[in-house]
Amino acid sequence: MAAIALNLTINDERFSRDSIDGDMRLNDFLCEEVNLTGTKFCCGIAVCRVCTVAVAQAPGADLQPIRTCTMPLSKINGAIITTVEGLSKSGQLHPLQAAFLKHFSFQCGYSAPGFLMAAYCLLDRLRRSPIPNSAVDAAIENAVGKHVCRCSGYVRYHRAIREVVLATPGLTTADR
Amino acid sequence: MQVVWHTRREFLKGAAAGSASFLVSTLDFGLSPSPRAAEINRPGEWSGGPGQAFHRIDGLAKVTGQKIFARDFRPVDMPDWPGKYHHALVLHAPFVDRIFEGLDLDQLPEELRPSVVITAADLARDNIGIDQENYPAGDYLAPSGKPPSYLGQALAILLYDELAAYHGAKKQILSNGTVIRTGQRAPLPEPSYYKPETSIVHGISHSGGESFAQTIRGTVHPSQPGAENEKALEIVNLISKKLKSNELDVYQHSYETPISDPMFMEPESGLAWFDRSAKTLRMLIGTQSPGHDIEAARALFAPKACPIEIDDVHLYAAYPGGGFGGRDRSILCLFLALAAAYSDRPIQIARDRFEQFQSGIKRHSSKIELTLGVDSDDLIDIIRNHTVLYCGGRRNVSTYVAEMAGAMGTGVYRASYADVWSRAQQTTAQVVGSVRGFGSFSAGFAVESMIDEIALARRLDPLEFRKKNLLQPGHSIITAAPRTPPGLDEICERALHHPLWQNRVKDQRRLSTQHERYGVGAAVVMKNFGSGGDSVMSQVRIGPDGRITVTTNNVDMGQGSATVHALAPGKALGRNADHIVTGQTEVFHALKLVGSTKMQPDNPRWTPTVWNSTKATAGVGRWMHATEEAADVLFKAAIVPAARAIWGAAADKISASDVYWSEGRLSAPNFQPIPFSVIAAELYEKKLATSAMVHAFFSGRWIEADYTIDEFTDRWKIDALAIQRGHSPTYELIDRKNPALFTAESMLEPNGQSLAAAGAIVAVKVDRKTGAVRLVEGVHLLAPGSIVQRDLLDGQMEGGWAFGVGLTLLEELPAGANGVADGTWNLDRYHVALSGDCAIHDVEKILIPADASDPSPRGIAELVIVPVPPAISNAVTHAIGHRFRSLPITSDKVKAVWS
Repeated sequence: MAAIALNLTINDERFSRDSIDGDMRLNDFLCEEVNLTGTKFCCGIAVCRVCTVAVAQAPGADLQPIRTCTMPLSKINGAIITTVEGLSKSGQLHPLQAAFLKHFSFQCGYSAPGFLMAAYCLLDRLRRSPIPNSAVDAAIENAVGKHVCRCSGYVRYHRAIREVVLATPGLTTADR
Repeated sequence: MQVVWHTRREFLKGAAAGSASFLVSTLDFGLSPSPRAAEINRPGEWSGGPGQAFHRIDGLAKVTGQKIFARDFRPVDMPDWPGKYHHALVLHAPFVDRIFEGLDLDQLPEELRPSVVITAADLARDNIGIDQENYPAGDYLAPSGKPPSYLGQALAILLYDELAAYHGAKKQILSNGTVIRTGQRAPLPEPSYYKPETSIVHGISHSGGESFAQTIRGTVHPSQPGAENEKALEIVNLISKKLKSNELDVYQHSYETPISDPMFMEPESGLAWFDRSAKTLRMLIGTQSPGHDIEAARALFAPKACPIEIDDVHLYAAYPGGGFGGRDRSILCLFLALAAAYSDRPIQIARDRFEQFQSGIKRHSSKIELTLGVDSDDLIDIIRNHTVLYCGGRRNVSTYVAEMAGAMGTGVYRASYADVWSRAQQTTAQVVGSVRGFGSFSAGFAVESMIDEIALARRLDPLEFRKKNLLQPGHSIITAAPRTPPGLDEICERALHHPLWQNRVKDQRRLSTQHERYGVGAAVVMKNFGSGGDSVMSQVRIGPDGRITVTTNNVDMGQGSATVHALAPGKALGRNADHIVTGQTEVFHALKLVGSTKMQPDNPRWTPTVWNSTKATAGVGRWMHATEEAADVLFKAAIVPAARAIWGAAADKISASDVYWSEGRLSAPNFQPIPFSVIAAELYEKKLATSAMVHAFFSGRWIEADYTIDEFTDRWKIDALAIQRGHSPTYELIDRKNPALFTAESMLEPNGQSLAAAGAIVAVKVDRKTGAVRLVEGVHLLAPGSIVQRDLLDGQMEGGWAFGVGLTLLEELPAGANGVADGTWNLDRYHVALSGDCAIHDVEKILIPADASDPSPRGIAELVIVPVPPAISNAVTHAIGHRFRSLPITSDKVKAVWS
């Protein structure tokens, strides 16, 4: 166990610890230290991806989907993290959240935060590098295709993400 | 689980009032998870008008990451619980062939040693009881000095003060195989069978009627003495004789389905606290069986010689993060209770996925020996099905699963003679349970594979062969109950004429290559929904502000029952519920019911069973009925009288049939519409009924009876009713009159099972080099009856499709000591279906319209997986010409037979 001084920005709030176990997994930190239990735990070995959060290394930097169940704090120190609790702004649901509701995308809902955060990262990527409309399904599969959901059959997650991608200006280009 | 946006104060108020309900607040609950989450507080947005939802009632909490699952909560989140708690580590047996000689915790570094160790010796010393009904066989912790009874059996519970020590110890114990001490090798027990076995003999008499079947003269056991059994034995012998003669073409094959894990996403978790000052055990758990869990926890401390005095058990029912039967009578509740009883503070058990694989409830593996005799007209004359389900080291619900595997053992076909024998064999494997499909999964795979096989052998179109032998409307199923599900014939017909099926030969030529072969397969199935004896409970309450709360013991593990219950009052009350409280049992004690299989006709509190576990198939088909009836009681016995009072003397003759809801107002010709809030105020003013609590029981039909409230009498399909008036907390029991009851015997007469039908067509491509089977297109057919909310139904179909794909192609779990019990299994080795496996953009749904003669909603959440495995397997056979009679059809297996 190697103690580190920790500084994280989570959902626009600063969290710091003078000394904390650097091997502690980010998932444990979120759930046990700061009570952000919206980020779920399932396999604990970075396979199912229910524990995904969005991470930027600096303000304005690319958002990367990070699996918190295996990510030690020492490797993520200083990062800017968005969890499912931080998706909504000013009392308004994020369009992805609204679309997940509208399309009845989830059932038990345990996988929903992971899908949301991976899709959130996809929107960020498309904002920086728009893709043709015809490439949207493949991009969604690439973003969330390895996420495990035992209830939903995936159809409605993909449908909701697709709707948001196509409805958000600047993410896609017309097919040639 | 109440999904409302209460303040913490309201939560505390509910808890202080002794409510065992679990109120989930998104606001200020514990450590304020997110200030922004608190701003998203829009109750009612989910509701889309009476009987319709814009989204799930529990959706907002789930999509914003609020605390809703058991794993989300810590003791600090719970009202009045001490904040400090123990982390409980339950150790499980990875072996059964050696003596367990206790733990050697001295091997652990001092900082990794537990504060408290609970072993079987503690339970014996304290005379801890056994719940023979729900969790029989005892030995909840394996005693030292003998081998564990089954793999995954708990050995001890270790309590840790600190999370880091808990994690460290778990890691060390797993890597150091000697902390769990083992002694001499011990012989494995001889195989035995749980009783009763299921035997269904069916034969047609000379007059053409059924001569023997389960529902004519009761269950038969041809191997046992007795006149009826001897007659049944004659049929069995006749079947053997016919199969040996030359009059029939006889086909005989054996099929196998494997043990599998329900793999719900949230590993089982829970909190418990033994509040010694109040002698109350409090547990928070995501369970499908809250009633059973409470009873089992009580039973632990019930013996007079037990020094742990617990007067009451409160269960806070969290939303389960998936269930699929794996949380139905899971023993986790007992470990929570025991750990709390031996701790001076609250405890948490939070299994990781390795532990869940090692010790969680599994699906039965099975072996099905099928023999069919077909005559020269391609009609099935005989079906013989001998099934063995391998049932692990505790009985759990295995005999019921075997019963259903038997009842579904002849598929959707009629036969002149049938001999079905289904047994639950005790093994030393993990505990198995009521996992999604419940016996029908194994029977469906075997029968639908066999039918395909026979059709191909006879050079017939497999769906034409099915159609020729299919049960028709009004036909009796094998048990002689007239329960052929509506839409079955239409499903077969639609599948037969679907282009994917009709063009399969042409498409195979067109789409197959040197490296890849294309094939199409189909299956038609049916499955029961409910249990054949379903008890459901619901309470509908109208608040003084007109807000409606529904409370039920039904649990929403993702299938949408919370939303369905919230929609249910729409029909009678003109608006959906505002609040839904699920997983409740204790409040229903107000009905003072006596549950017994022995009839007590003069006792108005008697019912065959008080409660059932939640089954995904029983939501719309069963539980919703209770909420609809409770709402109807309020409408007819309270709202209409209130309206008459408001409208005045001119409305004296107005009855329920004269009024209707329009835009949330109660209307009648020539009278001013009344807003719901005004009616609610009148209910309180006049002390009319403001809540109706009902119990209903179904077995082929609902028990019904007359009830009188304030001189208004009506007949409802319920067997118990209590009301509250105005603000009064007191429940007024309304005795039933003229009830149409059941006896245990009469429940068998019509056979209480209800059935629904489904089908699937699947197109696959099989890669010659890798052996991988890839779905390319599919059709999912279903006869759901009336549809409550299409989005929920579609979601169940889509989820069932993916579940079926995983079971067919991916999910492989070695059952023995070198397999899943070793504690090293996780999702890197146990693969479930991902989106790319399921052809998610290319599966067409076909819904058969509700049958006019029986439009009731059918429970379909389990059924929808059943046709998928045989359809895929049949498609693989079409593609490569090899028949797989054992699941899963992995790429390795394909490569081994086709390269």
